[in-house]
Amino acid sequence: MHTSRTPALAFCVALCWLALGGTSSAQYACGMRTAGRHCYAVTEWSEHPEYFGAYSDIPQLGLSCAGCDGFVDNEIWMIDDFTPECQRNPFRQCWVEAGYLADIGQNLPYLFWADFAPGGQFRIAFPAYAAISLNHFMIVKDGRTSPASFLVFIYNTSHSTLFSALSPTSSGNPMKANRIVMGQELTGTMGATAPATTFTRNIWAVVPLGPEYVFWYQPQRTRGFERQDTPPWERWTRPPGTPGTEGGELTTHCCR
Amino acid sequence: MRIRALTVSLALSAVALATPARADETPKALEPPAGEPSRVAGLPALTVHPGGVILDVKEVGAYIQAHNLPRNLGAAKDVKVLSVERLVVAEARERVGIDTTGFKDDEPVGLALLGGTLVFGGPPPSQPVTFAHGYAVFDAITGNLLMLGTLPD
Repeated sequence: MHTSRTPALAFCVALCWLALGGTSSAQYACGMRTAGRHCYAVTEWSEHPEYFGAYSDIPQLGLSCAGCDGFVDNEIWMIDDFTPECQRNPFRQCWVEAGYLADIGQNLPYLFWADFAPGGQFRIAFPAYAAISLNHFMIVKDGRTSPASFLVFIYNTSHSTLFSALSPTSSGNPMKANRIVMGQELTGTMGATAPATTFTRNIWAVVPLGPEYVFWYQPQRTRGFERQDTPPWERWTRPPGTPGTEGGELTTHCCR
Repeated sequence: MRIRALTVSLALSAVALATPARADETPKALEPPAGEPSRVAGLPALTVHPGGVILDVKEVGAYIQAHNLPRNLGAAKDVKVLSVERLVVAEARERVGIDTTGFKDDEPVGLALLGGTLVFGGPPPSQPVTFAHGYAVFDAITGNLLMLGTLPD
């Protein structure tokens, strides 16, 4: 009796597998051609009139895009939705972002930063491959310059890797970030993988960088506005305000 | 030493006064890294031939067709390489606003001007945007891709 049921059960399982996609790799609808959008697992803060800097510790634990058709990343953004030059650009916003990314052309994850400053254009730079390590990502408004530019720092604890970049404004109006977003971004339809990765020390600068060269900060105190497009996924493993953390611990992962 | 301590004390007072925070939310200090930044390495891109990196439309086009451009959501076949020039960093900075930390102004780079269709995404919740012009900058010695961006129409 059991022997006659086994092939039937196997047939049903195979049928279900085919109906669900028929492949062993994860599939998702985050492609330009399939969905016309990106997918995100992020949290967003917009509780203060201006954020002068953002910082998070993000380990690189083996992000992969082997066989994928888009990209997957972990990163932080500082965003300006209201400066007139920003509202007039094609994205209707200015921003500075930093993180690490694996994509269709480069399976090994690499560090990147990008910006669209007031009066500028979209730019993205690639300092180096991202080793398996804890990376510190800092973006801060530089009050020592006029108009204020933004500095980007990507470094490890020993400073054996330290990359820095400058995001200048070319319109005369400095960027005024009213939002901080952090988490994971996914594009494409298949193949990307991202192990559970925890963002720690989630802090923001309360004033621009001054002559004393200090990032004066507060930890994030709320969960922010969370979004997950499943995939990718995010959750607060230790919410902001948890003793022993600075700004809580947010974990992202992808893609099954 | 005293001057730095005084500067930090004054700054902390100013920060405390300027920040609408509760008494238990006195801002904390984190010193940004102050060391010499590493030289930007870029990503492996153009082939290094026995005679060096060839900076021309054919070589850059072949790279893009094989790998697409990082973060470009459009198809590689829709990216056209219009021209490739060998410049020094200072000239490339003047032309397209590159940031190549660790490079000297007189070091050689390849500047590729791109046409066709380039599609990039911004932060959530923005939608991807299509651009008709862009550029890519390569290290003329290693062939690595250092940076890319869009250009106005």
